[in-house]
Amino acid sequence: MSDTVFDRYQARRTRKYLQRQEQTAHWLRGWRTHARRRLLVVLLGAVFAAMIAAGVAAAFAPTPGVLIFAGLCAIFTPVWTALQIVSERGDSPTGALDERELAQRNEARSLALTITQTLTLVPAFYLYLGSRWEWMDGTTLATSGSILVLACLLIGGCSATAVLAWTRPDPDPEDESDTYRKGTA
Amino acid sequence: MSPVKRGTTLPIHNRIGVLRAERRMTRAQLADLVEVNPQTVGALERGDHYPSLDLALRICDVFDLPVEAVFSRTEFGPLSAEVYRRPTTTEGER
Repeated sequence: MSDTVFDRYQARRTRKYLQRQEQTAHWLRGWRTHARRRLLVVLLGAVFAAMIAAGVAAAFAPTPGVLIFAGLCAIFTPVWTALQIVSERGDSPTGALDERELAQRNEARSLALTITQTLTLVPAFYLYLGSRWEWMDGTTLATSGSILVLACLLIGGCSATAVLAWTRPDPDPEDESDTYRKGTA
Repeated sequence: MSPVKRGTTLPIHNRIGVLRAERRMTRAQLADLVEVNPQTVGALERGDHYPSLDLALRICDVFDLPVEAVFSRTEFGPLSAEVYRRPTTTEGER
């Protein structure tokens, strides 16, 4: 059976993912523990909460709202990059995972999809209802609405990795042992 | 944990840890042979993950044993007791 475009895309994605994983395997070693991963998730949660607040603030003062959101994006980028390096990723390609990892990734992604759909409904209704409020300027509504949509999409997009980082325990030392030790079985 | 989507999840006990110890094999070595992450072997041994049929058969191939010797619905007793258990004497034999 010949490879379809999708198969070739998936194979390339898997190859690139494994290369990147090998490259970053020893980066941020101190941040790979369960407690540190949870700390990164909490930090990310705080940034997201501030982004939502910036979206609401933009409804009253658009320019400061946008500037605060831009500043939060500057904080988000390194925290999110660090979390992706130290944790199992929610966007891992299927070919790079075994059956247990795949099951865990799928559960996390299912939860992330629910979070994305539920959260994005809020700014969607806000934009619809806001378009009928005559006292609200259209530009201000679009600015605050787009910040809220972006924040909700970022939350949803990061949720799968955040769930995996939060739930995956520290590896058992025996999992990584190269030599058989008596009495370990 | 289990591939079963509906109904009660029945346990799948295994002897992977004992069989691995017998062969002085690390989790990483077994994981390499069956092409999974070493953490997955740990999860199987702890009963945190039930294997697919494909993975179960690959594990059995490594140990060169039938499925029923490695996996069971009921908890396994000590392997040595099963192999070397003294035949019980009944009243009639005395």
